[in-house]
Amino acid sequence: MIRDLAVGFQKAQEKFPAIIQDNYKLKEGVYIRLKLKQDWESQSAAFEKNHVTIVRKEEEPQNIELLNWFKCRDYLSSLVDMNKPVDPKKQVHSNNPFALFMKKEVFLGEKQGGKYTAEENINRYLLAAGRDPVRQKWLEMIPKNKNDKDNRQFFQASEYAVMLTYLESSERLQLIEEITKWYYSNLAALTEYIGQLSFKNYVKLFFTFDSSAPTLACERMYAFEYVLYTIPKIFNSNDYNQLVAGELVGLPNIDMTMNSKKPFLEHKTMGSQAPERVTLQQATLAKQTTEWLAAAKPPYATNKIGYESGFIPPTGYVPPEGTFHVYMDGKYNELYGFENVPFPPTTTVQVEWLNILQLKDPAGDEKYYGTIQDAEALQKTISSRFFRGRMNNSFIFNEPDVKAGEFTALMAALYLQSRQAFHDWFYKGTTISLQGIFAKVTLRLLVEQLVHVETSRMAELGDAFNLRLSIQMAIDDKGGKVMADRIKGTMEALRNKLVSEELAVCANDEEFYFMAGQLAHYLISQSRAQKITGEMYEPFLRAKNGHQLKKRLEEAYMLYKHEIFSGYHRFNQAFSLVLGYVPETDNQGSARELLLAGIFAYNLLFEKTVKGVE
Amino acid sequence: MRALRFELKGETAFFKKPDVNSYAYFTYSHIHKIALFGLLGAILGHGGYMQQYDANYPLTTNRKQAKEVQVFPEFYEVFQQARISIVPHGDRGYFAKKLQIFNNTVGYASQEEGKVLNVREQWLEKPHWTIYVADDAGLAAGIFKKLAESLLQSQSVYMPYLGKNDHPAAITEPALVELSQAGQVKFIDSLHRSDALAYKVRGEIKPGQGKSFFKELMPVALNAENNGYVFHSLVVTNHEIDQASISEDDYRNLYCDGERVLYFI
Repeated sequence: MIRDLAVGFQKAQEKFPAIIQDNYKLKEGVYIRLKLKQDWESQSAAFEKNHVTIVRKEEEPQNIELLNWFKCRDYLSSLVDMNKPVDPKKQVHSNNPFALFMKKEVFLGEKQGGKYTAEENINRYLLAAGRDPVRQKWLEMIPKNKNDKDNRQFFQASEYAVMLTYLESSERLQLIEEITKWYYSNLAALTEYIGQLSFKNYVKLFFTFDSSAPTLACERMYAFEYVLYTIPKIFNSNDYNQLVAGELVGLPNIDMTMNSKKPFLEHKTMGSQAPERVTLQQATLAKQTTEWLAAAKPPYATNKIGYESGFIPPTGYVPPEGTFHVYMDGKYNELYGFENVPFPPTTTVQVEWLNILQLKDPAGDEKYYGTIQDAEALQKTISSRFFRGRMNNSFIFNEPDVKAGEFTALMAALYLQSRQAFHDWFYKGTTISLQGIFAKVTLRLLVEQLVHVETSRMAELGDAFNLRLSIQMAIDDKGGKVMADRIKGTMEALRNKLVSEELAVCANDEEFYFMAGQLAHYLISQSRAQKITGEMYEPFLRAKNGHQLKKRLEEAYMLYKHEIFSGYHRFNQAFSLVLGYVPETDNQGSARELLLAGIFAYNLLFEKTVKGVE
Repeated sequence: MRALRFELKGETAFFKKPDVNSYAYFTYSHIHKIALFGLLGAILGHGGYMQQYDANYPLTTNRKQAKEVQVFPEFYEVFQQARISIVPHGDRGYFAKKLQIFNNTVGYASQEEGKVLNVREQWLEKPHWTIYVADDAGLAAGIFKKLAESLLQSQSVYMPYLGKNDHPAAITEPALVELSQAGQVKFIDSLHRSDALAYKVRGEIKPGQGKSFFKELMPVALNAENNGYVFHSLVVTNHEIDQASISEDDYRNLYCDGERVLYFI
């Protein structure tokens, strides 16, 4: 999970330290760099050089240097989560005194029914970012343990000691004071100026200052402020913090909630109570991993990320690796889908589409389909042939609408039943979940299309039947091969029997059902109806057993007998083949499959007898 | 070395990953050491987390922490040093997974409006492993014998299940087998540690198979402080191993059962 993803991310981060910033995108709004030591009047002339405006769906401004400056500061000054603000009233969305993020309407005081003025918001925010509240937050992180008084000193011995010293310093105090003064004397003029700009969403202000002491350089202070804000908020809740072997561990904040309304999120009887505890470093890494994922990978899509190649673009030899399949929601960056698939990121899928039913094209030549070379083409083909184009890109999360005569309820049910298995094949390259259901599902889909879908055409369904048999052979060499061979063998045997002068009989059930299908197709095609629909085949498909099937064929014959020449040898042979045989199996399972194969296959009754043979 | 071998299967399985609980619960790709210990403990009738809780917080009017605290659940106390080997089957060691959605409507599971808790769980489908339990110093005297007898006679005190009691476990073909020390190994068939182990750059893939390489941080122990999982990354692959990279430590864990190469974790 995040833990597994973080392994690859960490390696990438070591190699490319700016990996987050490279993918970081600024939100919509106006970004302004302000000099703390100058009043607004004297710096407004240089406004052009010190601001960018970000508009959604438009290209980022060209001034790369300035843009990167804002990206860096924006990342360091953003909130972890809207539920973890510095400003208790959630009006200000930045995390440190040097930056100020506010929604446009709040900043300009245009919001209807807004409770606070901009001055009030800023003052409250600067107070909350001051020394005491921040120090308090850090103290709250340390678990209370009566027996151990040294806990309060915990952070003094950690890597965070330098930030905490900075927090207590008089320089910070002084800077906050200066900022407060700056707002006091310049806010009105600045607000007026910003009010005339055209932009949407956010106003984001960043103060800069030159510092005499290098330890207090402006850039470094933004980084320190980031840590000062982030660490106390890095855990989901500080209620579960523990000191384990000299390390502070707590409940992670990524993809984790502890909601008092859902009591069973807490482990009631396990010693751990919280599902998991991680160290501050792990929590920070998880946060960065998620940030990178959210920025670099599109939301609401299954992203395939190689164990390593997904994080660091490979150069040359790629060591053996599997793939993470990650699906994130776009709003809260939550994981909606995750899977560790032990196969390489690129799947090799190949299906040779064979013409097992010996169908002919309009010119009379045997059809040739070619080979489906990749997963994308395969998905398209399966979608159009079996699901009437409903299997689009994120089909794993979609539910197709039912439309009578177009996409029936049964088809939708079959779609839901099989989508995961198809997904596993297209995206992971494993047929393990498809093997058991493919034959069944696609046969039912074909019947459904034949009988209930108005626009379906026999020739296309025949192609689909061929595809179905070909895929069966590709995904499960045994069963699929057997069916294809049976159909081929049966067709050959019947072809000979139809032209034979002797009395022919079916040798087995397969020949019976296949021939029945052929007869059904032949009889229906004699109809003079304006439109021959698949519905006309329904009686044959509904027949429960061989006896009923013969009855239906007889009925159809009575209906169309005026069209059939009584001395037509092939037809007579075919009819006697069927009527003279009593099948052992009922019209289900593989018998039914052969009946359908008979209907869709090239019709032997239309075959011309080669001259000289007869 | 003597070992107890059995086939572990089920229709579905769910081994919850502890690090995500917001939208859905996800599963480990294979049974992990702790879950397997729990299953073996269930067969022998050892206590689990519930019994540990009852011992630590005795049933009185208000459950107060007991003086003598039981650090680990009983099954873990018994099995923590045991060495086991897990050989996954399926497609090159992969089992299909599917997200299952169901409701918990008992009423007290959720305090949100409607009192219905929606649960989403990712389940493994038709998992199948061959498990080996080593008969060595890792198991206290008599435990191995008792375990072997229980399995050979198809006896179990509690119902063994795969992660959650929605998923009954089928245990078949139990047998006591003699394993030999591994010499030259080309492939390892079981989950293994690969801290030092490397795979040949232009090595072979097991014949007739597509490439497969699985690596996951899986629980291998419980910590004493809060019974949280201790993780270690485990690998299973059909890539050829680089002989030179096998360490002394690895050799101590490598055994053969006929053609099959096992790594005891």
